[in-house]
Amino acid sequence: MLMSNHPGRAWAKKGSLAAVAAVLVQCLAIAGHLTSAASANSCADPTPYELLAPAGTMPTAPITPTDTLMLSELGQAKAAAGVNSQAALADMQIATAMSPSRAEKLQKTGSQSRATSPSPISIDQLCGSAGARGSLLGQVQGGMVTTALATDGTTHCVDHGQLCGWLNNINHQSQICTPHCLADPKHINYYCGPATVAEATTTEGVAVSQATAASYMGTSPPPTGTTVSGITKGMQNLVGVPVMGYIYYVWNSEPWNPPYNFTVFKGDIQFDTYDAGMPVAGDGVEVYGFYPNGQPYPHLLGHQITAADSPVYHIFLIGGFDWGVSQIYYTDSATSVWSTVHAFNWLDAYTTLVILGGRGYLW
Amino acid sequence: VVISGKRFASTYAAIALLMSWGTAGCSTTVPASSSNPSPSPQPANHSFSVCFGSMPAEWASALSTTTVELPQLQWFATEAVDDVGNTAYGTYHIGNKYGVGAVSFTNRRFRVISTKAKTNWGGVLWMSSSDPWLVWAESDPKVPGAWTLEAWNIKTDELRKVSSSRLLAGQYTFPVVGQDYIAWSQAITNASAEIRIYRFISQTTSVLDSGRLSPPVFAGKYLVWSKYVGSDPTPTFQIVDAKTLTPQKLPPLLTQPEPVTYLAGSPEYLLWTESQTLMAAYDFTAGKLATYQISRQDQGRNALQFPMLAGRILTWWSGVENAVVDLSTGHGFDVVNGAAAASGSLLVVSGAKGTVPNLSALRLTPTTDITRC
Repeated sequence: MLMSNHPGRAWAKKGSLAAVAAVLVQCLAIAGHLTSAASANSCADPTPYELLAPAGTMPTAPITPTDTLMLSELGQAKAAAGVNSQAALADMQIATAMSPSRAEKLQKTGSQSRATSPSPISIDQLCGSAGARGSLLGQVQGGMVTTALATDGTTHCVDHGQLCGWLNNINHQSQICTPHCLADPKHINYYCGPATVAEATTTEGVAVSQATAASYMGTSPPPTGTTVSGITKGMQNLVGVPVMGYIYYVWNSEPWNPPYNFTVFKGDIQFDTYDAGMPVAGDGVEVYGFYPNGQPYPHLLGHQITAADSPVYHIFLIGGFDWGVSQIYYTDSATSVWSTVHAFNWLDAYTTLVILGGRGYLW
Repeated sequence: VVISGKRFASTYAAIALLMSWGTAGCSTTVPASSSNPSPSPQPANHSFSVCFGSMPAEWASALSTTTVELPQLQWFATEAVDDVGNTAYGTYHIGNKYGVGAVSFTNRRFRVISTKAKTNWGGVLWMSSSDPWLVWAESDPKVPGAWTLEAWNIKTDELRKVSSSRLLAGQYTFPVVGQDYIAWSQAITNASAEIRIYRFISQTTSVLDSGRLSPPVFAGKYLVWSKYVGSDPTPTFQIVDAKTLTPQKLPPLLTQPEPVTYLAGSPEYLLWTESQTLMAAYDFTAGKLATYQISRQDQGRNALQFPMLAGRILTWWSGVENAVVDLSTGHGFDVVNGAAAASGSLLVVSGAKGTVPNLSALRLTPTTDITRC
């Protein structure tokens, strides 16, 4: 299965670049390759829909974080892995200081985008059977929201009575293994941060290469990789400013220990990918280990985390959601790291948030 | 090695593998199979929409009578199941120690096979058992991406280091142990791998195939893997007799290239995933092909990855939940607050009750099925 890269958006505004500092965070290791595929369908971007399984007959209740014991244990495992080290906390404080406040962002961005959103239609009507393609063309065009901030397409839909949506033609890139990476006997592939920024910029029509993003963000070999402040700088100045004309991205630290704020997370994902037409950068922490019940700690799809790799800090691009089935749509640059990773994925929304625990996301 | 019928079944114990080819180039190696792809796709005989309910009451009842508690451990993760020996093999954690261990459902005891300090422990990538051998690939804690292939004799405690890899794009390996040999894929470049066979008696290693190929699995009477042939964009199954390792003609329904991500096998089935929500299984006994679709509301928590197959009972870990599905019905359930592994005729469930690490076993029979969701 092979996936082609999409051209992205061409309308974005150009802005100036800023500079900041850096500290911790690394990415992945190992090897592999296999990417997922999608073929053209009726929607502007049918890939998320094609990867989304057929609808069943019963609506899904939102997944609730009921098992606090397991979540606490995972938090302790992340803490033991050093996720809340002084250096890491300082790095996240820098990222927070670089960010506008939540209120500022919502005020600056929110009103104009939401005001232009028409009523979404059923996801199955929008992107469903090929036979419905022609007859639904008008509805599709009506349902394909053209907001002031995402003129080339943000799919808006409803699934099981709940909102769903995604950025059309989100870009995927396999994170590259640099000459240093190739020369390193430990073969650490640490370019998930640059790959994520390259994906985001390409999606938004202001493409920069992974190498450019890495240079700008100060990405360096392990154990540093791309720092939280570094990825914040990259998303703000290589994506947010050129597209929106101002510092758009806000770093949101997610606690290493529960409770996690699922409601805020959902709101932030929806605001960016549904209202504003902007991608979100997730910065996750995956640790090796098992719960007492023998179940592995949660991981992104296809990730094989060993004790040798743990903890794996992994940055990935979130491009959509489906609250009807409580799932997040994301693209994963680790297709060049593990052969089991697909380029485009849907994952349980709350599990995604749990994986972000200890780091956070840029929205 | 003389293998009884039951032990033979264990030899074909559930195994799940992934494709492990690199990013570039295509091998021109002639496929092991002597058959040619048919010109048009073969339709599935049946399509299932997989549904998830709760564990059948009789299963839960049977499991509750076999529970082995492991209060001395922080966790035990079942990696392989030996239905002949009535034993679960896996990895454990206690204090600063990690290692490979066994839990016997016969004497209800935990046994340490290997112990390593945290700093020397990389974790087990994949494990397979067939009496008297337990085989596993262990990650090197010092070199991310590197692994060693180890074989341990259950009866004599002999430990052999069979192979190792330090190749960047070598990918992890997923060994399977057969009648008198181990089969696995070993990357030789960043874009190609070999199917290797290690024979226990002669202690020699040979190469069965090479190119852009997946690790092999035992399925039916065969050793099966998938391979990109020539410039084909989709891999094709390769098949040899599991005893003689001689190429065999593929069943007609398997000759078409398939978009395989993961492979799994059992004496009855060859199963592969085509996406995170779609899989297919070929029933060697009936000569039928079926597809299985995970529905949208189950997708986020039941993405298909790392499948294990015991007869017609499939288990997998989705990254969120452990799921169990009966391939004959398409019905299944999530293991609530626990995990599952299976091989041969034995299903092992961990953590089904309580907070103390524990394992329970269910003996699968031809009539053990999941009939409703």
